[in-house]
Amino acid sequence: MNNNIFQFNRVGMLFRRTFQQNSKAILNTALVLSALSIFYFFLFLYFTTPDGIGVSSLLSFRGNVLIFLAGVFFIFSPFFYYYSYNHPKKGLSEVMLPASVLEKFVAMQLVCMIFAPLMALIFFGGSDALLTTLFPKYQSGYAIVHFFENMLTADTVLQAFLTLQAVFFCNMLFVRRKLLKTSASFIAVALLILIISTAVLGLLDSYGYFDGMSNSISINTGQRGLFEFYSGDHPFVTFLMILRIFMEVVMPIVFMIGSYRIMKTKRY
Amino acid sequence: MIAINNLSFKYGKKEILSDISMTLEAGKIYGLLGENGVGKTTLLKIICGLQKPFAGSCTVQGENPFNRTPSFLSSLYYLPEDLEYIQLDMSITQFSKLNAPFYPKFDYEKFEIILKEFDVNGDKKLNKLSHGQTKKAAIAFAIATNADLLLMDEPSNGLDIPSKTLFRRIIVEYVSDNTCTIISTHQVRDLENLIDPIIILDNKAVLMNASLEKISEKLYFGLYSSVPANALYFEPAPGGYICVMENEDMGESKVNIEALFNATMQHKSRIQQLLA
Repeated sequence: MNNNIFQFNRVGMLFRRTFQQNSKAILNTALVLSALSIFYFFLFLYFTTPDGIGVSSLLSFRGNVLIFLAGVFFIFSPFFYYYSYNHPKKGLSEVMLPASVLEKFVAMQLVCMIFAPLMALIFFGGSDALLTTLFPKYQSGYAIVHFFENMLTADTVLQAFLTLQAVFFCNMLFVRRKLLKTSASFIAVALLILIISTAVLGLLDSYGYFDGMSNSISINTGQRGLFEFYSGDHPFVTFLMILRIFMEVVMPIVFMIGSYRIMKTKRY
Repeated sequence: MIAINNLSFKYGKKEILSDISMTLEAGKIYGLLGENGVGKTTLLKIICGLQKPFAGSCTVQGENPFNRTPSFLSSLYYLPEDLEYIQLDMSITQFSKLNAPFYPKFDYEKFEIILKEFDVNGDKKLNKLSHGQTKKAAIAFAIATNADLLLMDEPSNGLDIPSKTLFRRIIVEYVSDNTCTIISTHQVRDLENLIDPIIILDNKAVLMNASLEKISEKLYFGLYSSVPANALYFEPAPGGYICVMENEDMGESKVNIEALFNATMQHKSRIQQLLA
């Protein structure tokens, strides 16, 4: 690829710069995550019987904490690492850095998608795994295994990816009070979808559109593969499947293109 | 190096620059002068690609700055007036180690020397420095990039008097000979004996873009005990009046930039005609 558009070397330098610029915050986060895991270990130790009965039942709690932490780190990472990117004054150090917008965009996406959730997995999940290995009598099961068993479904990953891209886009779109404006936008969009879908469903129902649809037909499209269509499906189920593809595949791409476009054309 | 053709710029409906044209060459230190709010910073931002012209064009070494390509960005350094972008929780040395690799011609030795000349400790954290110290660190980094184009917006703001003198010397001594430097300021005295040519912006347009040689050829600057009848501009000074007059075979004189600026503001069309 053209040297002026993409070079892995420059992406590497951008990574290094991001990590070193945030090294103190990363170190503090790592310590807090490890401490949290140790805190849970002692907390559960206090509440369980001396012979260790019931310790395994706490695995799901630790696993869910890890899922929550990884989710938060994943979704809010654009705010954490790139809050000032489009700031008219503070953002100059980023925008004037000699790297292409594509290189900056790729580096930012990789930091948010891979590094940020990995922090939770390594430091909370890692400490938890270490404690389980060292003290199997007092703590059984690995939170990280629970995470991978429960979280790594295509649907969850795609939904998390959609949310990340939406937050990334809002981080580029809004200059000030980003968290407030992003939350307000999410609530507004959710309300809008709720109002429109309620109105449309009510209208369709009043015309008897769902009359031929058996109650036994599952319309929980989340249980299916993303492109799993059947010829006998009720048209409404097909519509929901298409809507799901739109939300989980098309919308993240739209948000990514939007973020890139803002980065490319932003004036300071 | 820089070609600006019929460039116009607006912030919303307010026109800041209107149909300006000029060319700037490598190896010169341009002084961009003008009153507050006249569009100096905007012009610098257009040249470095932070803003896009509303009409007309600006090219730097044949490239459109707004494309912000890596090769373009590594060939210039823009030092803004506000230094919030550099006030980070890291030492000056760490900052240079992280950012210098993006500038292929960065000279670490030069960076260390300039910091030493400015008496700034490289181990100090950027967010713990005073405004003047931060400015010195930023100036040192800017010069050490050895960029082909160096844009400085009000670089002397926040520097004490000895540092202003030092700044002028450092620019002369350490900026590469083939670098095109543009220094914007409204404090013209700070750049005396440094800038040549001089660009004066006023009322959305370029009022003057001339070398000191040409200015002293066309205008005469002198100290008189009383104001001569043909003086275009005068201002009281110890020992009489500093006067600016048309140079009618009076020989060469040292250009007083502040008097030149004020004279130009008072007799815009006359001085434009003289220097055309």
